[in-house]
Amino acid sequence: MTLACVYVLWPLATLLLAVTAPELALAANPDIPSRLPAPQPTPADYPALKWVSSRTLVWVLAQLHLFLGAFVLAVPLFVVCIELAGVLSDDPRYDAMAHEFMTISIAAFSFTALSGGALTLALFMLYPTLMGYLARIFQGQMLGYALLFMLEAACLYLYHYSWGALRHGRRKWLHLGLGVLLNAVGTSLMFLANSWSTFMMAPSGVDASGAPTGSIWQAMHGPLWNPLNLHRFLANIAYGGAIVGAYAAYRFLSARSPEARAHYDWMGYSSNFIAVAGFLPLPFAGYWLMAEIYAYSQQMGITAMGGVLAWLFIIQAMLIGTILLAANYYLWCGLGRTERGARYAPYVKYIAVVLVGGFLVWITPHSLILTPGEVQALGGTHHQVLGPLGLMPAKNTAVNLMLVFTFLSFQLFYRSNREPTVSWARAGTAAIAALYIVGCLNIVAAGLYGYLTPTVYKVGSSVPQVLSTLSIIAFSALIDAAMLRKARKTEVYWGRMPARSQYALFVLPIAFTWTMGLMGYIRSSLRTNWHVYTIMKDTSPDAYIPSIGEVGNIITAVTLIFLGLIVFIFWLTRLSQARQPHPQAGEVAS
Amino acid sequence: MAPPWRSRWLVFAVALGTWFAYFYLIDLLIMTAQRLPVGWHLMPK
Repeated sequence: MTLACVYVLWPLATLLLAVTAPELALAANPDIPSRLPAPQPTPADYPALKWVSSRTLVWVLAQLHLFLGAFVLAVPLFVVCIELAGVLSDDPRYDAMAHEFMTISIAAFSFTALSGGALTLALFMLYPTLMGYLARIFQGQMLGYALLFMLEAACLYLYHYSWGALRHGRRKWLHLGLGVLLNAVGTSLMFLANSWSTFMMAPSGVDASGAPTGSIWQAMHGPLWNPLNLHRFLANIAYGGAIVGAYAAYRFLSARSPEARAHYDWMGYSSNFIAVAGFLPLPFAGYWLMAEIYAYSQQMGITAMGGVLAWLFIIQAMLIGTILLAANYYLWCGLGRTERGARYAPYVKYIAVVLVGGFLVWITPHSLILTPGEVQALGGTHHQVLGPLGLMPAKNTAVNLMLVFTFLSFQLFYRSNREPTVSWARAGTAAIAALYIVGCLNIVAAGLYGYLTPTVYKVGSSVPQVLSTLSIIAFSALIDAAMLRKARKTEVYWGRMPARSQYALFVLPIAFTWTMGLMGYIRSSLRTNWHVYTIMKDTSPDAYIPSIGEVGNIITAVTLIFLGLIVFIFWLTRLSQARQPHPQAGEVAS
Repeated sequence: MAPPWRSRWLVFAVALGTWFAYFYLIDLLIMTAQRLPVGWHLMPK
């Protein structure tokens, strides 16, 4: 009990300190004026390196830190859930899987800290005026962040290394408590860092000159903070799931024994489930963030969706389409694990048609870059038939249908090893089929309505679409849960998967990493030539929007660096489990 | 012969009607709310 109190009170006190102490730290000193406007740096205020542009260096380090941080923060979130599932179901497989996930995360933690340290040094060295201003706004909170980081390390190591010591009974619950604590600290860390980013995009708690007008809490609680918090929280779960899925695929392909293949196949399936579960609500969180950006500054919204950055959204659509196709392909292969799976195989082609069709609509651009000859051949700047598909109502319809059908793939696999025993099974299936039909028709109808109504309602028509998607998922899951509660379970042959299905699990983290790099760049570039939007101008030589080609190269380079690191981490994790046999053991045996 | 309430097609038809009513209602609610003069924005500015 005392131990539990210490574990609960200590972090709570630290969290409280992180929020309140900053103001106590500096405001107490009367010699430091706290209500000064933001400094306006001149080009001479930017120390520059000879061999690399400051922006590129900070960009690469920040992106790398974000990739690693997202992974390290996400893994404990679902590990605790898996550990709890293990306790509740009394199935030791869950516990083993959760522990293995943590082992990967532990290896990535030190790289996260190192990249964070390098980023901090680079920021303070290359952008001292901006960092001085941010430090003045957020005061000692940055030290609070450092304190939280140490607490995160302590919790992470404690959680991981006490796994064997706290295995049964009440001790297991204490271990779960440690996991919850680790996640509380990790999520607080992310929320703090998010507030600095969103302050730079949409400053709050300051006047037009950048002088603070209120507390740090007001500076933190800007209009974009919570949408970004939710978006990153969900994206991290999807991202973490995708990365551990690649680990499972790597181990599956290199496994020699059928038991190991079965274990890693199950691990891969669980990871894919986590990735898709985090991914399904993600577009809606992204939509909220974008709506808040528009509400904060219409100009900023247009820069993103209608200006130079709009083409990057087409690349994003390509990547997300790839993610959905890969995740679905993996699920379809999974139908081969059960005897009953074959009866659902005929439906796969219809799901594929919807996914590919949605994908094509999503990547249809609105404004084309055309030569005069092409304009003449087209008969205008937009294609007569396909042109309307470049508008948001078509894309919203496409993405919602793709999400609904991805969920259907899951539902088919879930059913493939369960035979319902309730008397109303056929009626239940009919109700689910009707739900899918009417729900999808509603999504299409709301999309068509979007074309017939003024812009303000066009944006609004996406809300019924989102609710339709969520309703289909929620109600069909509820009906299924009731119908399959006492279902007769048939054998799942874990490990009975073709090797090619595992490559779909490799595609997921690659596409996720790329997408995150791309979208992170867009979010950050929305500030255009401002360090802090409308308050502090960027006057460095790098204050321009780079060409799409240059952006693509840098994002790809960071993605490759990160994937290289991940391969190294996977190898390290495998190495830690290897045991070299005694050199003379072979001779003795023979 | 199965009693009519167990007929798959009857259940399907009733379910179609029920879901139609449900989706029609949420569409109506959202679109009415969006046209209210008070606005429907969630975040304080």
